Amino acid sequence: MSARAGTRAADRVAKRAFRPRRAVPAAVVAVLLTALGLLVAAETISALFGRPLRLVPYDRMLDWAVSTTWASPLVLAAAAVVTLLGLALLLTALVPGRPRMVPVRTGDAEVVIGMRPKGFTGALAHAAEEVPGVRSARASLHGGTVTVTAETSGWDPEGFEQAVRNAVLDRLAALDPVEPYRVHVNVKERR
Amino acid sequence: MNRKTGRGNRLGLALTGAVLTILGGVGLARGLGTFSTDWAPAGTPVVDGNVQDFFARTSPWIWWALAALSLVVALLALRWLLVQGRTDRYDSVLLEGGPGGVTRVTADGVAHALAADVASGPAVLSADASLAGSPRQPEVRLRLVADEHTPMRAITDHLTRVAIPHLRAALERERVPTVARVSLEPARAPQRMVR
Repeated sequence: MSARAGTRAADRVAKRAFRPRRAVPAAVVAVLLTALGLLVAAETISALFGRPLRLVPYDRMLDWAVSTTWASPLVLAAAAVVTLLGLALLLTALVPGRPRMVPVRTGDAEVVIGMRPKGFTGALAHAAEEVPGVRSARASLHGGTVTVTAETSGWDPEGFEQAVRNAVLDRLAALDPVEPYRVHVNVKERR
Repeated sequence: MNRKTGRGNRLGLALTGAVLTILGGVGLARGLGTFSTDWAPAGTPVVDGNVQDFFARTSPWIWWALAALSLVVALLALRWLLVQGRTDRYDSVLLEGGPGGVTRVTADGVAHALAADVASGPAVLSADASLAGSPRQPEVRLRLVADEHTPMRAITDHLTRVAIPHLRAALERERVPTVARVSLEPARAPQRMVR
């Protein structure tokens, strides 16, 4: 394997390592399935032993199902909701999702490093603050874009924008993230 | 939570999603009259004579089968729920056995030594390590706080060339997969110029 292919493989591993684990939807679905499974089991087994629990009014449900056709609006709506819910779960499972950490290039697939987003944006904001004339700066991360808002004393928006951009790009290069980030700079003058 | 849990969650969600999509889609298709009227007409009740006949014919074993199936679903779902809090914890790592027996090193000892090694690196303000995976195939979880001014390359080089190779040698393993989470902070005594 060439060095570049090795780096690419390491980058892929890093991105995959910090993908969302989908713990919340998984826990919700697991709780619902557990409850549903136990309920159906309790109802059928109790009925089989001749002492139905009747936690669910299934006589009324059966009457409804016998008198309602597949084409009735309620059945159609319920089927549509079930389909949409299923599709939403499929998407949650299959879409990789934004990583919770900013993966760092290591060149070694066995060593995966991620930066916490807060520290990452903080470091970029501090880089902007080191530009002479910048009083304070904030940085935020949305998708693949870093937005830096700098408050300056003095009025040279283009000069400040260029200087802040350079400082942020330098720090970004030093932090060596796997994925490229666009840098968007806003300059505000504060008297 | 470990990497296996993430894969399991996605698999479980995909399976449940696929079942719901198929059930809902078939119901929707039948209600909209997409199927042939000889086979599955939209105008018949949800539970018609055929369905009742089926359950009457197959009773009681169909109810036993349903009960068994729902118990299996409940148990699998319960297990799925319980592994959400799973962390890989173990007390000791097995080293290669020799004629005199096997050697074990304590997981905490290894983790402390690694954390100290990592913390000695450039730009690292503090480090904490724990072992994951299994005693036979240990993995490393690192949490470190680093000075945001130092190039990340200095940290990755120290990890990949010094700290992790030391660990590999100590554990007598060819590979020890490592995941490090880095919090960047300004150095503790920032020097600010008054302009």
